Amino acid sequence: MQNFLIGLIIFLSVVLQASFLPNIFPVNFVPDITLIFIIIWTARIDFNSVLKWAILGGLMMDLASFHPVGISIFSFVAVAFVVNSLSKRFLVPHFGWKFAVLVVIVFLATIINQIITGFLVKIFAEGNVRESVHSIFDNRLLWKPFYNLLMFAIIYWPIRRLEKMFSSQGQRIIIKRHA
Amino acid sequence: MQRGFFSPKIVKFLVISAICFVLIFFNPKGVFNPVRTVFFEVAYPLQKTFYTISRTIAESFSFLSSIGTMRTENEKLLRENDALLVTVVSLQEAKKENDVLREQLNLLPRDKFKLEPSFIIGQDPQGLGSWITIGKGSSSGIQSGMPVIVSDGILVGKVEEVGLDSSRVSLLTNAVSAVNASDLETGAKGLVKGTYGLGLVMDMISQSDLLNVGDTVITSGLGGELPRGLLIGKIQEIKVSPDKLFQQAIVMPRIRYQKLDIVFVIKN
Repeated sequence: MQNFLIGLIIFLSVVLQASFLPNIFPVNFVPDITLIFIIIWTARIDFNSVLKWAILGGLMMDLASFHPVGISIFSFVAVAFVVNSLSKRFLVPHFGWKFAVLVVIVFLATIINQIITGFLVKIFAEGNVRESVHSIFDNRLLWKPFYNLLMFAIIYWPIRRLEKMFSSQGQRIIIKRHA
Repeated sequence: MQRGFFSPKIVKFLVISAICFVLIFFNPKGVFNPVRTVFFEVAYPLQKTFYTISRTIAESFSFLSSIGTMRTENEKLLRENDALLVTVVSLQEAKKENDVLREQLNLLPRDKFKLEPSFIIGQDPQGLGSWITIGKGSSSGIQSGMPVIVSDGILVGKVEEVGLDSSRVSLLTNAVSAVNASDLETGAKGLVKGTYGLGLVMDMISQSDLLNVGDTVITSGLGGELPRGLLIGKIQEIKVSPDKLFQQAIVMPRIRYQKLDIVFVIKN
């Protein structure tokens, strides 16, 4: 049930990113909602558990973006890897600090994702090696993290509530098994 | 206990990265088309609903933000209306002249296009602004390469990939898009290219050709991919290409590609 729900959230986030958000946000700064879900989960759960969701999210994003399959998968897995390493070292139990650290992590992860996808898409989907580096370091790299942070602030608490719901369900199952 | 150089986490990451690069390098886009078709079949109803809702929200916000300027705009419109009444009379004459010109320039009359209307159901989720997804596919007779316009003959782009009930339309602003175009007033020919979702540049115009700011740019019909006479935009600025061999013109598109609801695919 939990796996199905997470899969559904990822699917819906990809569809939202492709069909809903482009009309609400400026065209070059559409927030990467799927990426933010992956970042939040990676920071809170371990790398191994989140790996399958990063792969699924990347695959769906590649399908929805018409990019060669593998670009977003690699990017999401790389982001999950980095976020996991950072969160292990810097994430603290204190609520306020934890949120602040997550903000920094989302900011960095957005830049990493932007560089990886921008570079690979330009090279493999558009075959333009010369322009690839130039196009990555435009104003998108600066502004996209801010829009992603806005989206992060919107979805952070609903995700926490969902996690609490899952954890309480898990506890009930464990209690039933013991009984 | 001595730990290996690579932890299991790093090994997993490297293996997945290697698989991804193998997929990217050796799998052309077509291999995943069946998977993509299934994905869009499942996503289609949601995409259509989300797109319609978001357009309504965006329009509501735009309406609310425009309330303040409405009064001045209303006064301006009343003045414009008076001026337009005068213009209508002269346009009657211009219409006749236009018919003659279209005939002379061998432009295809707009009503002779076999059009397939379609809703837009999605856009580039990576925010590169280079393509849109429309809700018609091969089941409606859409084929790759077909031109896409808005109702009054303004070119939007070309169909690039076709699914069963959805297609990807590469916009003119796409960096890899290139369309043969000409200046309607002077006849100068060139190639209109996209600039990463930011605008259009008419390139490869001979130094000897005449260009004027404000001239209308249309499709030239060269190459046979697109019919002649589809409107692209107006020339905003003229400059010399970096290699000094050609002239370049910055073209202002007639429409905002990201604010479209319905487009028409030219099927003939």
